[in-house]
Amino acid sequence: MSWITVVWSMITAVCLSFAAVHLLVWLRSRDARTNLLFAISAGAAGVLTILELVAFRAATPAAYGETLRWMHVAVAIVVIALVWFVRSYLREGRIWLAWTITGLRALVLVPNFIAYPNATFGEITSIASFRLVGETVSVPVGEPNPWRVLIHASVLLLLIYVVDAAVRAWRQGDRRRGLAIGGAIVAAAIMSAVNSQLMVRGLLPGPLTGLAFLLIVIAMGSELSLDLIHARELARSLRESQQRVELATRAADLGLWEWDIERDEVWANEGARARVGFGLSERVTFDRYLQRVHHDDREATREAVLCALREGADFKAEYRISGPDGGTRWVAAQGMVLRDAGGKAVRLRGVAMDVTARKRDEAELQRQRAGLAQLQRASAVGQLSVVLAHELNQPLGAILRYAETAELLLQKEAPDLEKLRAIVAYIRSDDQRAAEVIDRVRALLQRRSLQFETIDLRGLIAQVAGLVQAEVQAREATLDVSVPGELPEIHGDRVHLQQVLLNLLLNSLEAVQGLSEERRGLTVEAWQRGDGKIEVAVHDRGPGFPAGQISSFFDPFVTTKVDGTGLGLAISKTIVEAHGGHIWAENDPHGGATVRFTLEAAHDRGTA
Amino acid sequence: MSPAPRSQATVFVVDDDASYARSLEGMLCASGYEVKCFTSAADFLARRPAGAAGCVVMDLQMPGMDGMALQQALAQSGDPLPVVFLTGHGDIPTSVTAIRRGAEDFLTKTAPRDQLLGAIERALARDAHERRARAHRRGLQARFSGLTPRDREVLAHVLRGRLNKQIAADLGISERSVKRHRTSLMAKLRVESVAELTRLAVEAGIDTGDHPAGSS
Repeated sequence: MSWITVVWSMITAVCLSFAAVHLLVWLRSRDARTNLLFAISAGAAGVLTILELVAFRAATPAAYGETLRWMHVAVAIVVIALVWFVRSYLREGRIWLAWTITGLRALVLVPNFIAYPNATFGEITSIASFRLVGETVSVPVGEPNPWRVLIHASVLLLLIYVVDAAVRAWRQGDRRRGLAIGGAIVAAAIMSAVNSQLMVRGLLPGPLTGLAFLLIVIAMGSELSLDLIHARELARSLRESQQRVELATRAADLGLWEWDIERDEVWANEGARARVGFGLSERVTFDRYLQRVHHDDREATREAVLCALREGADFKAEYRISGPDGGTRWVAAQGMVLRDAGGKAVRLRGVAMDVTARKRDEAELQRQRAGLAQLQRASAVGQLSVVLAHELNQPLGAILRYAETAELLLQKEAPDLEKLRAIVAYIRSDDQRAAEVIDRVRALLQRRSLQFETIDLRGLIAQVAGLVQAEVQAREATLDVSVPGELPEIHGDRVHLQQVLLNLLLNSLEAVQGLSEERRGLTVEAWQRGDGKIEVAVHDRGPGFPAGQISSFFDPFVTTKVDGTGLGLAISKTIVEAHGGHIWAENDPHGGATVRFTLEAAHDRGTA
Repeated sequence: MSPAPRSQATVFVVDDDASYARSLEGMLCASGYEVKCFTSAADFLARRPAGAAGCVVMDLQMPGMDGMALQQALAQSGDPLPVVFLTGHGDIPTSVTAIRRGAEDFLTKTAPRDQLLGAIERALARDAHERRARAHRRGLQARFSGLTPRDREVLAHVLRGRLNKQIAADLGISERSVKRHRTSLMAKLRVESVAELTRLAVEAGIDTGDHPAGSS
């Protein structure tokens, strides 16, 4: 076997291998147009090299001319594919130049097939022998074809086009690609143009285009290997980021999902599937997913999705899922719409979180608050029995006194009827008063006795602060709790003391409602005083208590609130006093009010 | 029960509950008492007629100064009055404290008239008695205040049972002078015997001189 055959075959093999690799890439991923164009170009270069080898063996001018003619077809394909490859690969290049070159190259094929024998030669008169790498090959001898000017023009335009694209790519920051591809193509084009000239002058047996194209193949090969390295790096960082995402999703118990809208297919990670009860390979559509949503939430969820698709807003919904175990789970889902170039929604991608625990906590908190409020009402009267007796005995005592007076008056011989009439009116009015007292507390007639236990006041305050937190937030207020860690334990009734704190906090919250932001701050403090007693202070920066009435605020039915019962502070007072403490109110000189109460430390009480 | 109203005695009603105060006033007036109403402890302390005989019927729970505080203030004043407490709802510890501090009685507002009038009667009787005692003591004190300093010195020694001779030695004066002072002070105090003098001194709260002063 001759060297020429070996080298040219190798060039062919290299070109075809590259063509095959890029063709495979394109087959796997149909939008990889760049790879297809390069595959065409490299494939045609491979064919061109074989044709050249055939031409070297041509025995007659006619045979050489015929081969050269087909070589022109291959060159045209190489060049046209290369032009569009450059545009696709460098994302640069003037479109009109690309079309012009394409047109010229196609045009060259016309004289190539019409004029004899091909576009290069007007006539091949004879075949000369030429020694190349120790071998004798055929060299055409003949007249150049005048149509060759088209070839020269296309080569010139190709050079301009490629240099222009490469420079632009360079400027765009894509320096390596611009330099490698641009440089290789320019070198190859110049080399084949020179070779072609040498061939025409009989100095070379053929254009040796394959050799020139090898430059481009090498450049692309290096690009490809760099891409491979890059791809490996990408794959690694992708794997890492996937691991991170997985870690994060697992830690947060997040479900990842994505709805391919066109194919109506929902992809979801393992956690999300398991939560809803779908198998790993089960096909899930949007409607099938919706079927798992609790029927009360289904339409709202569907609407939320459609709304996101329609308006382009983020998707956000909380709904219940009927889980595989028959239980109901709460899910909070959030997602964003992905759109194609035309703005059409193609995917909805997002995360889902199991918020059952949070929902349960919220419900529990709500229940606790409701329970506490109920208890407050119930124990209000328990504590109120004292208050009630007091309040009721006032009018009852007065009625008794009036009745006694009337009796005395009636014992006289001429009873003073005017006086008696007045007394009857008074009796009526006091009876009314007694009835009002009963009316006000009728709803609260239930008794709960005090149950003393040792209580961590710090914990109790934190608990109550937690209970009112939602209310505090709803009213855009803030609550600061400042309780030292070493506060001694107290002896008391947990629920009743909670109720006192709750009453005071809710009062304060109401007091600061509608005030400016810096005045909507409440504080709860507790500390042990010098005398061993524990003092709790609830402070707000509201309008304070009306002057002169501050001492009567703990009396029953005294209220500044339009809708208040006026029992809260009276009950608080009863409770605090039942604990052996005192409660009092102060107006702060700088505005605001503080209600303070004292409690006895548990050990103090034990030794007392 | 038929009360025997005293012309001088007044029942002072102190209660923030106007309606109850009015009803009580009506009943007490119809029962023949002189009644004056006050709506708060402070009001009563400020406006009560000085030295008036009577008693106070007051609500235990009042805004501002409550009944217990008023009772203490009254007891510490130079013109005390017995107190009958009324309360809407009396708890035992409070009533015990009130009674221990000298309240005449501790009744609920719905207590029957007999019970209330009984308490008032007792309070008035106590006031009359205490008033008399105070007047008597004041009269005695007035008598003692007519003594000269030397008379008092001699008196102190006499009350300690010292003989004239000892007194003369202690005070550095003649026995005759001692005798003259003794005669003079007994005349001023309108007593005729040492026994009577001693009783008078005790009643007037005069130091009987268990600790001899100025002795060397």
